[in-house]
This record gives sequence, C-alpha cells and structure tokens, in this order.
Amino acid sequence: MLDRLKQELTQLGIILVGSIILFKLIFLNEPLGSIIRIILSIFYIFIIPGYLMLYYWNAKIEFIERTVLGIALSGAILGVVSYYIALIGLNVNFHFILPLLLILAGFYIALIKTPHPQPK
Amino acid sequence: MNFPKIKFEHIFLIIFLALMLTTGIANLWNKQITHDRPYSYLAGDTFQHWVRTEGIKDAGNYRNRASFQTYGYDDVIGDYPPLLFHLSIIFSNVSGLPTYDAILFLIFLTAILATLIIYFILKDFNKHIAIISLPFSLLIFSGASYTGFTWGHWPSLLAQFYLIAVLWSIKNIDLKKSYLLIAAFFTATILAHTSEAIMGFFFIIFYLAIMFWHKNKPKEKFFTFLKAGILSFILSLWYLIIFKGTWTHNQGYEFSIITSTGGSPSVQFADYGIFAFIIIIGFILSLLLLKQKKNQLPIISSIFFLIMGYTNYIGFHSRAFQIRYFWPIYLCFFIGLIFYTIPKKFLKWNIMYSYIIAFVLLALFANLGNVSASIPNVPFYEKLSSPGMMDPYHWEAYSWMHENSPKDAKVLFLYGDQFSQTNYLLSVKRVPYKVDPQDFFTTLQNPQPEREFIINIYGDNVNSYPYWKSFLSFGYYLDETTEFEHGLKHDICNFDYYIYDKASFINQEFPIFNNAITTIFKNHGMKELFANQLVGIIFNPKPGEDCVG
Repeated sequence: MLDRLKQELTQLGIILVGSIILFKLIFLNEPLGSIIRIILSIFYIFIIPGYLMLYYWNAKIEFIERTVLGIALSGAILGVVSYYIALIGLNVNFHFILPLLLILAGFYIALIKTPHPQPK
Repeated sequence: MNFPKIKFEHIFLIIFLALMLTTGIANLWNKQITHDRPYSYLAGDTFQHWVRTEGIKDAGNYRNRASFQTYGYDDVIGDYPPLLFHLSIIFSNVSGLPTYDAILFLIFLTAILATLIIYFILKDFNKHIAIISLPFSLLIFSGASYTGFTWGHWPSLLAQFYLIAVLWSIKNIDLKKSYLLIAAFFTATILAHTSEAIMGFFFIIFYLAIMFWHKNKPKEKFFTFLKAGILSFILSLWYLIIFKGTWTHNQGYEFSIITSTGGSPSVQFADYGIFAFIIIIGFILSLLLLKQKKNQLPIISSIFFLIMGYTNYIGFHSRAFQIRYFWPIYLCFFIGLIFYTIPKKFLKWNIMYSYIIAFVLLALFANLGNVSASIPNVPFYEKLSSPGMMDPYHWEAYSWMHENSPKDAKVLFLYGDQFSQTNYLLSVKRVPYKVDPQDFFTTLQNPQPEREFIINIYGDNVNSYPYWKSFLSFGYYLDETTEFEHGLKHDICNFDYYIYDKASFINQEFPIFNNAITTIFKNHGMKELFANQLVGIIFNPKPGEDCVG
C-alpha cells in the first residue's frame, strides 16, 4: 500500500522533471527559472492534491489517468472553496495556502481512508 | 529506485501533448509564457475576463464587481461564474505569472487535458479507437474553434473541460463513492459557466434513458446521480441564487433560431471537409451501436454533443456555438470508430496499425511539412502568432493611468483605433467614457468651438447591474435610471483625464482631430502628464470650467 504510494510519487517526480524539459524545449524563449516555477506551481496547485485525493480509487484507476483527472479534481475543489471563503472574508490573495491544505487532506485520504487490498 | 516502464502509448501521448502545446500556445505566444502585457488578446471579451480577474484580485473576493466595470456603482453583485477567476488568481500568485498570462495559460492547459480525458474515456471502450481518435482533437486549435481561445470564450471552455470530467466520472459510476467525483466536477461546471451545467444535466437524463432502455443498472445509477445532484446543489446553492436573480432574470430562455453567433466566428460542420462525411458515417454507425449493451458512454456522449451543437435552432443561442468549439474533442470518437472498424474488416489488426493511422492523422491535422494545405477539403492547423490588440504603448499609458490617477477619476477616451472595443477600454481600470467618433469629427469642424459632444459611458453592463435590495431580493440599477443613456451630448470639459491616440493605422487624418482639441485643452491650462510615441494623457486641473472657448 505504502510502497505503491512511494513508487507513484517517484513517478510523479519523473513527470515533474520531464515536464520542465518538455516545456523548455517548447517555450524556447522562456527563461528556465520561470519554467521551473510555473511547473512547480502546476504540481503544487493542481497535480499533487488531486493525485492524492484520487488515490482512494488506486485499485481501479491507473496511475496516469488519476494524475490527469487529479488536475481537474484539484481545480474544482480549489476554485469552489476559494470562491466561498473569499466571500466570507478570507482574501483571495492568501489562498495560495489552500493547495497545501488539500495536499494534507489528500495524504489523509491516501494513507488512512483508502481501502486496503484484502490479503489473498 | 523503481523507474516505471515506458510504454509506447506513453511516448505517443507525450508526442501528442508536445504538439498540442506547440500548436495551441507556443506558436501563438512567440514561444514564451510570460509577457509584458496582455498578449494574444484578439477581441474585447478577453479583456473583459482579465479585468474581472484583476477586479477580484484587488478586492480580495467576488462579492461585487469592480466599480470601474459598472459605471462607478460599487455594490453591483459579482454575478459571473467565478471559478476561472479564482483559479487564475491563485495560479498567478503562486507561479509569478501576471494574471493576464495565467488566465489564458490555464484555459489552454485545461483544453489540452480535456483531450486526454476523452482519450481515457475512449480507451475504456476500445484502445485502438482511442488512439486513432486522439489526433482529431488537435483541431480545437484550428479555424473558428481557435477563436474560442483568442476571442475570449474562456469560461465556457473551462466549463466544458469540467463537463468532460463529468463524463469521465460517469465512466467510473460503478466505483464506490463515485457520486463524490460527479458532484465535484458538476459543481465546478456550474461555477465555471452555468449553461454548460444545464447541458450536462440534459446529458445525464439522456444517459439514464439509455440505461433504463438497456436495463443496465438504471436504479443504482439514478441514485448515484441523485446523491451527486444533491451534493452539487448544496455546494453551488449560493451562486445559483445569484444566477437566478441575475442571468435568468435578464437572459432567460426564449425560443429563436440563429445560424451564426454574430459576435465571433462560428464553427460550422462543413469546416471539417471530408472528415465531416466520416463523422456522419460514424454518427450513423453509433446510432446502430446504441443497441449494444457494452460500455456506451463514448457513443452516447458523441451523439449527444453533435446534437447539442445544433441547439441554436431551438433557442440555445450562442451556447450551442460554444459547444461547437470543442466539437473536435466530442466528435473524435466517430473518426476513430470509422478508421478502426472499416480497415479491421480486411486486416488482422495489430496495435501498431492504430499508431500508424494516428501518426498519419496527427501529421495531417498539424499540417506537418505543409502537406495538408495542398490537399483539398482537409481541415488543418494554421500557425497563428499574434501579440493581439494591446500594444506596448497603450499598455504603458493604461498602466500609468491606474498607478497615478485617483480610483474615481473621470476618464475620457478621444479617438483611438482600438477604442471601439468596450472591454479593451476597461483595461485602464477606471470608469471609461468615450466620444462618439463621428460626432467628434463633425463637431470639431464647426467654426465655433463647442463644449457639447456625444459622449458615452462604457462598462460590463450585462444583467443591468444587479444589486441586493434586501436578503435574496434583487434590484437592477440600469432598469431604474436613464442617466447613462447613450447618444446624448455632454460637456467635454467635465473630465479629469483625456486619453488619445497620436497616430492611426486606419486613417491618418483621425489623429489630427485629437491634436486639434488637445492643443485647445493645453491652451486652457490642461497639462500633458504622459506621452509616448502613440498615446497621450492630458490632465484637467479644473473639471467643469471652460476648456475650449
């Protein structure tokens, strides 16, 4: 269970490095430092929180599919929560903290709430 | 450390992604992500969404629209679906990208991801069809579809990304707690662009009808949707109250037939050339396949979204045309179905055949080697690279204005080539007024100097500027006053700042009128506080006093 999570997080790390290389090759005129920051932001805001939350269904949905859909899930939760908590007075400019909370929630789901496979 | 095995499928997807990023954004954006001004904003709506984002960022929330968008009213309800703007602000703050780049980058990113999500949906149906279908979706970056990005239909595109995520969650409806996924994505669709959620609701009805017909666990599916629907309703309730009091009040359903959007280019089925025929054949074949009980989601969704693209004939107005922007994604299944089903009749199929067809189609649609351009009736990507409407000189002037003028300054735009685009004027982040160009030129040619010109106020005036009258009760400012009627004469001396172009690419004589009146202004004590090669800004220290006599 934990091994699988570790292995997939390693794969996410490989995707992170691969994304930086791919983006640098495609956006030739963008400085490397800027690309690294943009890719890290995408991982922090969209990929990691969503991936961890979708880990709940890891037995049924393959890794790459969970990673892509995690982006959608993270964006959905983040956008909706951000709208409402800003309405009640928490300034949107401080919402950069929200993905961190989602990541913590994601770890909770991945490590505690995810159904464990039954031993054969 | 365990390195994952690289499958050929992954290489194929990476090549596809690289091509999408190149054709979608990199070529358009001059192979840069960060720009010094709003870049590739080709129409007024792009500025509308960006200035709304800026307004929310400045206020810290979307309780109200920014007053510079609303003729100066500071309590107009924030009624536009908010998801895109909030995500853009967070992404901008974390990545360091300016909001004008962050918002458009997110739209491209989600559109590209939408193609991958469809791939996963199709892969569950048939991997070969998924591989062969994928290249067709590259056409979202061609022709009229591309204007969905460059002309500013961004909220609709984001909502369609979430609509496709809803389809994916329906694919997984049999999973434990799948209603959570459906609810999350459906709520996001509502808060991204509500009309797509209405289409999503129709899709679920259509899907359930097919499930009931086939007796494919209809009750279980119905209750999953019900749970998701209740959760989604609760999560979006506050925005739905606002939506009902604003959008449905002012733009409710009304039967009409339109054949083009009017405001922006419309995707037409015939644009796909010979592939339009293939889609029709795929559509007919899919209708026949509806009888089978196997995974039907790709069949149902492709049929549904082809039909929804024609709801402009039953009163869905521009919403139907917005669905068409993503037709290459929704309809790619038909292409894959035909290119797989027919050759398979004659060959013993191998996965490599699917990849070969996919690469050929990818090369064709991406117009690699300029080959497609020489084949008649083949749709293909055409490279577009444009800085858009905002040049560095106007950007410098507008930045100066919102850094150096009071927030309630009255700003009058004299003649400018781009000043006819209302939302472009809002980039100045002050309530914009503008002279009527024809009246401006005519009045200035009168022998006697005149103070009265036709001057109009501009703003993002959809929904008549709704405000809270009391709890859950709405009032509408523009329904209660005639103060802002257009076409009336107003005193040109009654403004704090005047922005004007010094040159024109349309008619070299137009700036002569700007020059004439600004010379008179300066003779009456006004000062030019800002000037560059193209734009000037004049300050009026005594608004209301004679400035032309």
